[in-house]
Amino acid sequence: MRRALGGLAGLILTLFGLLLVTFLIGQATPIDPTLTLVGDRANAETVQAARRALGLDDPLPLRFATYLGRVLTGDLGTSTLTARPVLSDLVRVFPATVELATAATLIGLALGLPLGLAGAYWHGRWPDHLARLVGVLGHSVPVFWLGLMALLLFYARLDWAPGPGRIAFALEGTVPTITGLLLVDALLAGNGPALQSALAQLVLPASVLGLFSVAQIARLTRAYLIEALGQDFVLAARARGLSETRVLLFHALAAVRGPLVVALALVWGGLLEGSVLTETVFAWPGLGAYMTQALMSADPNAILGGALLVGLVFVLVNAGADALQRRLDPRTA
Amino acid sequence: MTRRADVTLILGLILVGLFLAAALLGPLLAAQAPLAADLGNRLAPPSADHWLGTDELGRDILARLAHGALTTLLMVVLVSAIAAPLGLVIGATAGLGGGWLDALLMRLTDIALALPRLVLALALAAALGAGLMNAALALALTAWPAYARLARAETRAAAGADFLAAARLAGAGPVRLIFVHILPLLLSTALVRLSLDLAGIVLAAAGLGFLGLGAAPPAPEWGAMIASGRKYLLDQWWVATFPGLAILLAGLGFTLLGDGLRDRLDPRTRRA
Repeated sequence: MRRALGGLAGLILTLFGLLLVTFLIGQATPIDPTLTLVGDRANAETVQAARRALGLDDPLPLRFATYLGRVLTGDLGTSTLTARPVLSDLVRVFPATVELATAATLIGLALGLPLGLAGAYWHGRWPDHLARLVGVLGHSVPVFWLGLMALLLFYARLDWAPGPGRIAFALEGTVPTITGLLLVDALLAGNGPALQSALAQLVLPASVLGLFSVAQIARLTRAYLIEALGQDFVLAARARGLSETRVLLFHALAAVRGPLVVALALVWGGLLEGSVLTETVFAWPGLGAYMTQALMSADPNAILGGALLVGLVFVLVNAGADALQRRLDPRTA
Repeated sequence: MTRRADVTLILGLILVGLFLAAALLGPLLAAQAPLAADLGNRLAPPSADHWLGTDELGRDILARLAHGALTTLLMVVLVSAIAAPLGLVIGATAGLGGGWLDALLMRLTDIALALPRLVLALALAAALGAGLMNAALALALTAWPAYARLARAETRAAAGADFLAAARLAGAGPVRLIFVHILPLLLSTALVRLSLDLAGIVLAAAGLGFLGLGAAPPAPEWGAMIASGRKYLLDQWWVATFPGLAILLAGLGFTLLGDGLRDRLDPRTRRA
């Protein structure tokens, strides 16, 4: 109980720190908000009045308190790009990013787990080298370039995959938005062609982003399992004559499921962030594309709102993963 | 085990050596000027004259890659030179100070560690405005916490050592203790950690450049070169492809070097 309370206090402190960071970044922005209000031909008194009205002459702590109050009531300001509240923009674009990051994590799990297993089991042999190679590549390839190369090869040259975007142009707008997750919405609406198109569109960006999760998951699975396979309980299981598959899956892998689940949550949180560059390349209408557009049109509210949202989810996933770890592994409690 | 670590290390050293050679000697040796536009020869495919082709303004891509290596190197050096000392001093201060100072600084570090780095660097770089120095600052301000953690742990471990007690008796103040006696102690661990971070810095820097937040054009920068080659991807593939390969090779070199160094210098760590 005390530990849980301590965790909660830590979480609140971290969120406070996050808000302080986004506030300070906002203060560093050279864009003068009074210009958009009064224009650049206003006389000095008008500018002064506007500054006072916006609270720009208040001392820094007071401005931070104002900012805190606004954010806590859901007011992230208005985007100069879309001329709408940033919060409603974020609600609109975020599901696309969640969909992409989740698909990438699933690909990472489907490929990374077997790869890590093989690497740990045949430690020092070719499956191990393969697992290491993927890990090193995941560490060294620029994701935006890989996306462009994938488009060049699989879309332009081979024509195996559809081009950029989230759904075929002809089907745009045929799926009513319920959850914002296009796959789920298409399923709920019973719209077969839309579901098929959305799935086809998802494969390439999710695979490109997924390479990074494959690398991470394979690396961690391999490291945890090598340690577990050297433990006495594995020796005991083998001594009892259990099959190797059984030893590997039900004894060694089961023993490391706690840290693995935690790693998976962290990978997912990291991919939310990693999707910024991937989305830009694939014209995926999610948070990353939104932030990039905001970047191009110098829209500080939208950039900071996006950063705040990613930060919030990231911090919550971190905290949740910690709590989960304590649940799954009594030793860390 | 040792043999494989050495192979990794040697491969990494070769790639990093190539990168350094390109950055330091490339601009001198390249036959073509990186900024010389030749509109009659724009988007020319790789040939004997232009080994890697030319871009949309007819500039030689190989020459631009060599100059871009220097930009990347500068970026890597700047980020490391800001982030590592900042983190080390914070960590050493926390470890040596103990008590409330330790609690405060480590809480700060934990908070900073829990925040998403790339997105905050992006927002910070956007706020500060495009430019090499600003991008480096944005990356450095999100990279220091790992060093603070490391420095604190090492400092705590050494806090009771006799040589520190002797220095104190000789009248050394906290500043002298940290800079003269503790920081040299942290150097080898910090260097291994730094070598593991370098690939990430190269990739993050290229990412910022791709988004238009790196060195200002027309200065050659790898990420920005990919961004401008993107428009010609389908018909003139070489414009975007070669800068990406350069980033990949530099990243690969630093990753292998870091892995190899870690295995070489710290036999306790299992290769993960």
